[in-house]
Amino acid sequence: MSTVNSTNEVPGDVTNAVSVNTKFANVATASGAINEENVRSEGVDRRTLESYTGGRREPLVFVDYDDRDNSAATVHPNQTGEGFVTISNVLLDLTASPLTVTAGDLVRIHFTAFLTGIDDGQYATWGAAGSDSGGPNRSFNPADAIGIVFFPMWRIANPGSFVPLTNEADLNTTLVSPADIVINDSTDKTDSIAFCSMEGYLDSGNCVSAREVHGTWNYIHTGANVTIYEVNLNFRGPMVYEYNGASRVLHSPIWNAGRYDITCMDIPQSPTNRFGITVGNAQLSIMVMRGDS
Amino acid sequence: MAFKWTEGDHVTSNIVDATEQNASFNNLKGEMNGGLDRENLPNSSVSNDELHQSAFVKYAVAANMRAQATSVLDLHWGDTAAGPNAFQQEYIAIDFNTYTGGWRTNPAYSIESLFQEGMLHLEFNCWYWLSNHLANGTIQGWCQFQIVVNGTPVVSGDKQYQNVGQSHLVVDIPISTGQHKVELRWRIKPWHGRDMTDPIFYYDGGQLLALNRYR
Repeated sequence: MSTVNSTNEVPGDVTNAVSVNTKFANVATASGAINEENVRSEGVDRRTLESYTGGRREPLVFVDYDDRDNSAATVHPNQTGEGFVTISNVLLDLTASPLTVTAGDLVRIHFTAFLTGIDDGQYATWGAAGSDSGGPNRSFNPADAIGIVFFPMWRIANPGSFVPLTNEADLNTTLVSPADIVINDSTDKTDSIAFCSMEGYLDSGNCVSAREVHGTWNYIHTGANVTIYEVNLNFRGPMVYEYNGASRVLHSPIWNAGRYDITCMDIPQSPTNRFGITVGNAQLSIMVMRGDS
Repeated sequence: MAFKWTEGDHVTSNIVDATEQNASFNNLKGEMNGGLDRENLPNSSVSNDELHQSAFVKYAVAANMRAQATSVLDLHWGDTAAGPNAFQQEYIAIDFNTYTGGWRTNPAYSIESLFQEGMLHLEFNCWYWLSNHLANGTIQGWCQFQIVVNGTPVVSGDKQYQNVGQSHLVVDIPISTGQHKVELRWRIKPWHGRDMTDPIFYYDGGQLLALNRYR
């Protein structure tokens, strides 16, 4: 409206029809819409809000998910960390109604992934040999920072390719080992990844990890609108967290060479140089919220 | 308050003086100037067009959280042919020269904000590396994460024993109107015989989300 202004009558004045009419005209001719200056703090509640089919859901703008059960479990052979694999049967396909994210929106991507296991039955993060067969030189070998990296990507151009999430590391890069994917605090973050240990137990020649990890990415968008067409879930590995003398990195080593050679950690013990990785259940969701105050 | 307007007709000589008229009129004016509430407003009268985008929620994200007070440290591996310490690799991590046990708050990342009375949804997620074992099995390390609000723990993760992994903490707590501080803290198994300069623990890719849903 917002506020109604009027002049008080002054005691002693003669009240007449003109002054009374003026005061009421101030209200009658007010042209502004009622806004927050008219409604008291916390003066509006659910009863006052217009109802919607299915109920109101502020501040949710959008929510969607997809998942896959263990029937989609797949063995991915010959993995070294040099490339990445897109996990099948778990995809947020918004192409029919693309999702527009505006400045100030909170984007929340959650995922879970189940690492069933790897085909290196003797795998251990401190080396396959252990103390018994490793001898004194290897008995104090420490666990290394080896694991499988799960990460989501999105497609924000149509037509276009899947790209890393905003300011996340380029985990979709194809490498030739030994090589690094750099991590930094600005444009190559790892906030969206989930790092899954391959540690497990020996069963039928495989290392059964049976481990689920939960990754999230919370992002308050800035700048021009972004339109999301698809979100997928990927993994690459094994990768090794290291420092390369200049940066923190996720490293793709040459397996069975250097400290992973048969005379040291012996990773992988069998097969040689590469891993078969089995991923089971997975779930991927996106939620966009609006209305930060 | 909610002012229920009752219509009345003035009659001759009904308005006896200015003060009385001002009081009557200003009562109505005051209601229009910030006193309207659900008693005045019709049911289902506020649609999406009238809603302010900040009417329901407040959110904040502390992103890119990673371990503080870290150093570049070397791990060494022995080889049957080349002998002990045949290989080494640098890591950014903490060692037992700078960690002596107990919870350690990360001072570089926190959320301190004016929250409104309602619920506060908190999430934390990060990946970690823990040099958890030696090959001879004599050492087993662990790490643990916790979210604190105004210094009080509100959720703790379990101890985690794998070499790498993911910590995921979620909690919803009632919150009062006022300035509140949300922080992350962590701890690992105290010194267990490892070389004091071995890299032991590191975490990165951390995000702390605070989502304040108003009452």
